[in-house]
Order: sequence, then structure tokens, then C-alpha cells
Amino acid sequence: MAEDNGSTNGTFLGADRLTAPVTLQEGDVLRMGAHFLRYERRSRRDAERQKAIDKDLQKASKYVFSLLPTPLTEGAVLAEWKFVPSTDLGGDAFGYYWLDQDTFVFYLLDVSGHGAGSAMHSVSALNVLRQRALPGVDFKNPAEVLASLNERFQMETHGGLFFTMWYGVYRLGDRTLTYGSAGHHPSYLVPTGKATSAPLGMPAMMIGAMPGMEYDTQTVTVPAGSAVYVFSDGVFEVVTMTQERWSLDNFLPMLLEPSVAGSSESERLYDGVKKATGPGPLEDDFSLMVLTFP
Amino acid sequence: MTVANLGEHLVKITLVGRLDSAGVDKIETRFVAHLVPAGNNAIVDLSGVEFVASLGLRMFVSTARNLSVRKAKLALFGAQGPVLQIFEAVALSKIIPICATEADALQAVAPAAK
Repeated sequence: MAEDNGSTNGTFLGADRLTAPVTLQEGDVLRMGAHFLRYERRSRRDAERQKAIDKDLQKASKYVFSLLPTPLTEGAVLAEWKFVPSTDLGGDAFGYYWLDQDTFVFYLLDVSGHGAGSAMHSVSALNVLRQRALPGVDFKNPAEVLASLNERFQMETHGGLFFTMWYGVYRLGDRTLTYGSAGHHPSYLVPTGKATSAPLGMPAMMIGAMPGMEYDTQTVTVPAGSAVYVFSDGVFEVVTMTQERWSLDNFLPMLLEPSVAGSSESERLYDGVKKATGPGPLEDDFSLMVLTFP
Repeated sequence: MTVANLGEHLVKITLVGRLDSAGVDKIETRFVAHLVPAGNNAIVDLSGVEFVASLGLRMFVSTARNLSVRKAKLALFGAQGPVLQIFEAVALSKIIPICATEADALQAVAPAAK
């Protein structure tokens, strides 16, 4: 039984504000301000088992976070990010590193679905990239990397999962960015001043969907002070408090909004999305990297 | 989801709504069951579909690949606006024919003339 004892902002069951005591059904969700409570009944044994599973998931989540790169706050490329899985374990992963003194590599991948299976798949792919374990592949060539991953991670031999990916290679010497994409929406190059955003992407098949795929690359010059925003679709495929379903077009104007003092760009954008969606978890993983090129 | 038999080993499936996580959960088992075990050629009407997420793409790709093993084909038709944009972004037409009309889709799955 649930009853609101005269709270100012009310207690909601679904879209309905409680005006009288109600009998809860298994799975009902009560909302009080920013807090959500799900009603579940379990035996003590089931509850203990669930507690153990939750603990394991938390450990797994910590492991995933441990694989993500530390922010870069100085040097020829600055990098920071925000990662908020929609469940304990997400299907997104990303990374960046200096391949050599002149070459900076950064990438983001998004496995179809989320949860433990997708997280395991994303960690497998992430570890291959972190360890550069693609024999004979030039990691300065996005097309080679994507094609090699595609052969290695075919969905038939990986639980029916595929992933989208964006992979970029920045050359410090001539300030060029060469990039490739596999079924992923564009990343965006935003010059200093934030007057415009240029999409960096091309149509291409997801990794694992079909063997023998070839991938294209494109190259742009990166003006001094520009930033590149790389993100998963969970950043913009959200439902707002007014039940509006966003697409990429709804999110893009936020990239050009002014920075907020005391807040990183990724934090500012996450806050902006959360302001639109309201309390509660997002539907999909939120992964967003911001690379700045001084 | 509605299913219509159009002939021997030829099925038309009509989907409506959103093929996001919840939408795919509701239909995937039936969608696959109607097509893959029997190796049916299939055309899928997407004119009533508003959105396709990665799980929806996975359902189509996986089904097309399984049908291919059974020498059967899958074609999609009627996709509009955002759905068509998603298909183009992931180059889905490299695996599955994306057709404008039902007639085009039927032609795409028709057996090749000998």
C-alpha cells in the first residue's frame, strides 16, 4: 500500500499523482521528486541472491571504468569525457592514446543493446584496441582498423552482437585528422568561438554485420583551439520530460552553447541532456568524449 | 506486427511503431519464427515504423543472414524519414535491399530467372 501524506510536490504512480491510498502491484514505480522507488516482493533467499548479483555487477562496472582513459589536462591534445551507463553495465567503450610522438588516436564504440552481454563484447573490442592486438594492421589507418575489427568480431561468432564505431587519427605535425566510421553517426568538429559544427562521418556498415566490408577514410585540417566531440547515440536518443523524442538535430545546437565556468564540456552537455529529460536514468548509455587541439 | 502469406515460401510482414529495445523485444521471436525456420522469402513493410534503434537493425541483419544460409531473401520497403536516414547511415542496403515500394521489394526477393 502506498499513500502520500500531504507532500508539497506529490507522489506519482506512473503519470498519476496519488490522491488516495493505492495497492501497489509488482514492478510499480513510485516517483517522489528526483527519487524513484520500484515495488518488488522477494523471498529472503532471492533478495540475498540478487544482492550478490548486484555486487558482482558493481565489480564488473568498476572493471569497465578502469579500462577507460584518464583525462588529459595538458599537452598537444586535451581530452575529457563523461560515461554514464544506463544499467550497471553499458555497451559503450572508448579510448585514446599517443601512438607515437606525432600521432594521437581516439575512438568510441557502441555495442547494440546494453547490459552484461553488450558490456562483455565492448570490453573485448576495447582490449583489442588498447593492446593494439590486430596483427598486420596500421593503427594510423582507420579503414584498416575498422575492416580488421569487422573480420574479428562477426556477429555469428559473438552472440549475435555488432557494434558501431568512430575512429580518428590526429597528426600533430600537419594538424590533420583522418577518420573512419562504421555505422556510427558523425562526430563533430567545433572551431574555437563555436560558430559552427562540422560533421565528421560517412555511411558504412556496422562492425560484425557482414564479413568482407571495406571502409573509407576522410581527412580534415584541425584549426588551433578546435574541439572534436565524439559520442554514442545514447547522448541524443532520449525522451524529454514533455515526451518529445530527440534525434541528433535536437542535440547538436547544445554543442555550440557557451562553456560553463567550473564545468567540463562533457559535464555541461550531460547536464543539458539531463535538464531536458528530467530525473531518472537515461534509456541508453551516455558516452561523450571531448578532444581539444590547442 | 501482422503476417500475410503471399504464396509458397513468400511472406509479407507489416511492422508499426518504434523498433527500439522495447519494440524489438515484443516482436523479435515471432518475426524470426515466421521467416527463418521455414526459409521463407520475406518482404517487410516499414511505412508505419517511426524509429529503428540498433536492436532493430540487429534483428533485420541477423534474419537476413540466417535466411541467406537457407537460400532465402529479405527485403524492406516503405521506410520513411528518420528510418531511411538510419538505414543510409549504416549502409544497410549492402546487406538487405531497401525498396521504395512493395512491388520493388517483391522483385528483390523473387527467384532469379534461370
